Amino acid sequence: MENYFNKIIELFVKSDVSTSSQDEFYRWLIGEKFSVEKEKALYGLWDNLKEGTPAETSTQTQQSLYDVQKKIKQRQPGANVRLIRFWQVSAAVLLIALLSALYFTSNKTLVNADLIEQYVPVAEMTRLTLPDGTEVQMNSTTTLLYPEQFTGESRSVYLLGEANFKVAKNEKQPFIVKSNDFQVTALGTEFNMKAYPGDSTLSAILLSGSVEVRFNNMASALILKPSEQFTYNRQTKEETISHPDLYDATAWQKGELVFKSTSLREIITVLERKYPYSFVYALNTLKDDKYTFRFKDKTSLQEVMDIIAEVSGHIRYRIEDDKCYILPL
Amino acid sequence: MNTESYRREFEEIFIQYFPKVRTFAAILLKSEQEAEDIAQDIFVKLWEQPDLWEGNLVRNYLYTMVKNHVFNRIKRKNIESKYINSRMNQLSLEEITEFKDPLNDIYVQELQLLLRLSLEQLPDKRRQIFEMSRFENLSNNEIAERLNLSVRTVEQHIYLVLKDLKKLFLIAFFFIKF
Repeated sequence: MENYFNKIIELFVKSDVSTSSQDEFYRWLIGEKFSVEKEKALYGLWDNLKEGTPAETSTQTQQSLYDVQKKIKQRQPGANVRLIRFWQVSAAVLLIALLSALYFTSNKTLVNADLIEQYVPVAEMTRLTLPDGTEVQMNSTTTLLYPEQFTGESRSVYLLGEANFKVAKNEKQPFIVKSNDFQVTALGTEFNMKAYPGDSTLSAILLSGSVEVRFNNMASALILKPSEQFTYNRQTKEETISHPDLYDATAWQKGELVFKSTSLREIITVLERKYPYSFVYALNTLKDDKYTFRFKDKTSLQEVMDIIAEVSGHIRYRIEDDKCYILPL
Repeated sequence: MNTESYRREFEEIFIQYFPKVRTFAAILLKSEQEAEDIAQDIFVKLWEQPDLWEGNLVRNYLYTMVKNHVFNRIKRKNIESKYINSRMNQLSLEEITEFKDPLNDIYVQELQLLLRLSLEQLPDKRRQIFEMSRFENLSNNEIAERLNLSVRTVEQHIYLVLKDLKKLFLIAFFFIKF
């Protein structure tokens, strides 16, 4: 009887109807009965409506676009920099925090400087050189904000995500990477910094030179020696210093995936950045066991999941379209 | 992605889908102004959700959004006149469907609505005659008298209505069966 539903909608849509018939139709449309059939018929209607092309854009649509752009501007007054995607934390608040941070560290000269935003989407990596010659390699789903010109007393950038910095030497102008809960100050040095908004821990590893790490609302500071890793837990506010394998810690730059006694949940968080799939699972499916894995560059998600499923022994997985379902065995 | 390419991508999506969203709302709400408001609201919101800007995802998202907006507007319309339905009940749908099918009882609401909307398609005079005949239970003579028409004309109008309706219901009914 699907056709009854299609026919009703078709008849309603194609002609003018009296107010009472219109009400009758509305009552029927939003009624609970046969909602699946109605939904199907409605989707059919949607599906049959033509999509626009640039060539045949009407002036009406142009006007609407203009109106919408105006409304968008009104909603975010003065924001030249758009903070996108995973930045679900209040973008405006962070932007203000960042701007005031720049304001205070830069002797007021940076306030009007244009900020450049570099964003790396899921499953990609980017290398870029900052205006001062500092080389940055950015991991996936990472945002870096930096000014067009480094003026003022320090070179400040803002990081959300993970990146490796080879800082150009300039002792007069320290290089500062700021993040939500901590910041790293360097003179001329190479370090890796990880500060994803969703992660509970942040970390910085010094590869060469020396850096100062500030955390705990900038109240605490310590100096890292080469090959030391600083880890800060956002929740417990505890910091630790460790000596990880430098090769492993920077393996992401070569496209490799290295997990050292890591829980499945943490592994999935990393995989979600590395591969363009979203993971669907129930939290109680994943036990708290810790695993160590090492995957080469360009390993497909399927291969990764095959091995993880095999080793863990208590999960299976299924990849459908852009979703990876993880289910108990 | 920088601001400029971000804006361009949004414009492309806008040009592709905005007319579709607006038309969908307009034909259901029968109001260009309401449709325009809804479509603009949806796209203002879409600007803030760039992770949805992908082919199929954005298509389905926009559909869900526009459907929900339309439904919300309908719910706010405070629809009146429930009693009209009962008058329709007097009409034997069997007369039009010509066969007794157990499914007709299940889909009685759909059949009534279908009949009602079909009648809307008819020329005014013809619909008036048919409603007088079947809903008000007037005889052909009474109708002819009231409308100052010949009985023959009244009969002819009713015949044509029934023929149209039977055809429409038959198509709607059998389409799915075969």
